[in-house]
Amino acid sequence: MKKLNESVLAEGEVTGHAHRLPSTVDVFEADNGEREFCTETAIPLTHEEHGEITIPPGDYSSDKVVEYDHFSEQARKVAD
Amino acid sequence: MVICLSPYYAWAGVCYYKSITGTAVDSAVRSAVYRAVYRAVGSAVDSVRLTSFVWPWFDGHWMANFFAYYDYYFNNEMVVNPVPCEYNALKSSCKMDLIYPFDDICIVSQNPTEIHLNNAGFPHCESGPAVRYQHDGYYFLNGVNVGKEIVDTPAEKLDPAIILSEKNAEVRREIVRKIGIERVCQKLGAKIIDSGLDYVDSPCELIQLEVQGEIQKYIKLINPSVAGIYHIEGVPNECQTVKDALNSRKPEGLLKIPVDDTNGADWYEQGDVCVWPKNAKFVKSKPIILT
Repeated sequence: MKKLNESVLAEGEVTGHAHRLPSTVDVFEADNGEREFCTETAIPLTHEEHGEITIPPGDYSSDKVVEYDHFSEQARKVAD
Repeated sequence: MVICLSPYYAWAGVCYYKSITGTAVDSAVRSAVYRAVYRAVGSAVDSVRLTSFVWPWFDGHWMANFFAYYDYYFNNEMVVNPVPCEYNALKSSCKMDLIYPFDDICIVSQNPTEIHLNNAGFPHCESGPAVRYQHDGYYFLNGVNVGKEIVDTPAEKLDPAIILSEKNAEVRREIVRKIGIERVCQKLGAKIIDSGLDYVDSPCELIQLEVQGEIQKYIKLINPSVAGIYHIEGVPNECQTVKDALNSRKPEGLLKIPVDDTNGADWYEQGDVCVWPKNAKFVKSKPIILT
């Protein structure tokens, strides 16, 4: 697990948009790309294009949805 | 000083200059440096003072909003500018585009000649570059950086098959938006395997295509944040129903947790990101909130 410099759960490659938590929240990333964070209060998860979600207090994991690439015949995380 | 026609040429010039001076430049370095500088700026703002630091480049007019922010405090005499000379010198860079200063050479990009935005304020142009420079530009559709061909080619001449090889979901969404979902499905010979509702009760379909003689299954979903706009994602051919297909999209860590719609923990989905309680023994079958 490594601590990320920014409190971001995922970043868009072609938009520059990000799924972002308040900067006071530490986000850690595992080798498989899954990210974790802990919050003692309800916090907003924001994104430039999607509606805000309020995350209740707790320990959380997060990751991107996956899609199946029929050409490489393997599942991969959705890139946006 | 070298004046370049666009940031692309300026960056190429920087790479060339760096290569002849023996230092490699790549996007990873730029990204790392950017974050380090951002941290320095953040702490300076928090303590309401400007500190001395050296930028490896200047963002020119792209940073004008930062100067507007500082000017508000300085002009209203809420904060005394401790370094007016240096500040004004830096502020003057807003008259230009990207600037890369070195000891004995400075590479400057010309300003864009046009910037087009959509109603939401994202870069967008359906007839050319959204950010146009004198001799080239950057192509965006609804904030998504897409290829020149996708913008320049009329919708009726775009080959719907390009969505199957496009790996980026946002780019795929914009191609589908431009071509139209019905034409995409018709041209690709889509066969509907199952119809149902997605997690927010919008209609979705499990479709089957025959591509180069092989069966490929996809799920056709409405984008929850862009009204009426569909996108298509590949799903394993084992999927027989919409429910199977939706389930197959879950991240590996979430998929491992057994489902219990009565006592399972709530989880969330924002665009392509899922968030779930780390130590949940059970989770509900669909997100409590999806945006």
